Amino acid sequence: MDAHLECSKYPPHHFFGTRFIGQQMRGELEALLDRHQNVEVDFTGLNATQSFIDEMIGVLVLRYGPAILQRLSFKGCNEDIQTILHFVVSSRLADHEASRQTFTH
Amino acid sequence: MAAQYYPTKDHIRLAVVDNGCGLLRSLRNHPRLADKTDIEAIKLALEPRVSGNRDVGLLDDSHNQGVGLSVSSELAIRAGGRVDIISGQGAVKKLRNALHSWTVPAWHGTAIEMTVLRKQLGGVRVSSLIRELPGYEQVSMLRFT
Repeated sequence: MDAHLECSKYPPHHFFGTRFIGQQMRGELEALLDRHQNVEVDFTGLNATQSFIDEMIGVLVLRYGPAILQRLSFKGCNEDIQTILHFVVSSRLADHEASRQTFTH
Repeated sequence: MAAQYYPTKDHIRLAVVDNGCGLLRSLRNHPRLADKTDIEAIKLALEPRVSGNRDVGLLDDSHNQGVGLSVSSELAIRAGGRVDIISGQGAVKKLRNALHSWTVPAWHGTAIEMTVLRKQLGGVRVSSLIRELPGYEQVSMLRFT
């Protein structure tokens, strides 16, 4: 069964700016991923910075690699958030691959 | 941290100041910092993908991407503004596409000031700035609903 994470329910509700808040939201997301196969992350009605998205989503990509993306979908993203997601995820996929090669060799 | 609006000129000024180790010490071992001076460290910090902890460790939550200062300074420039940074004995001003530098009495830490024109700020698209960053690419695996 899929789960839904409505980010605007959490403070500060409309603008998510810091890594500290990103870490808290990552905790909420990881708790859902522990109990559900797929999670829809809902960014409807809010704005976020690259730092927040990197801390919430980028860290998961860095840890688990591309496999985590098969379990996530993103709802209600405005153009800025979509663009930031592409930037963060492509960067962290590259970092993940680099770290994998470092540990392999 | 401080912010002020100047209604006569329609300017917004933001300032962030710390009393930390300064940019030169943070970036001293960065491979792209050939000239170990405060001014060159400030100039390097303004470039995208540069950070004091970006190249330090892998799988560390605080391992950042080094784009915050470069994107926010570019945002200020496109909003008709300027950026002033003082760190150690160096000072750098970014105005339009030019950097101007000079030395100052030693400042223990880093001070950043950005001035933007309020009316122009709304016309700056963050998504455009992000797309222009080196290494930006679309990820086909991302699913949007």
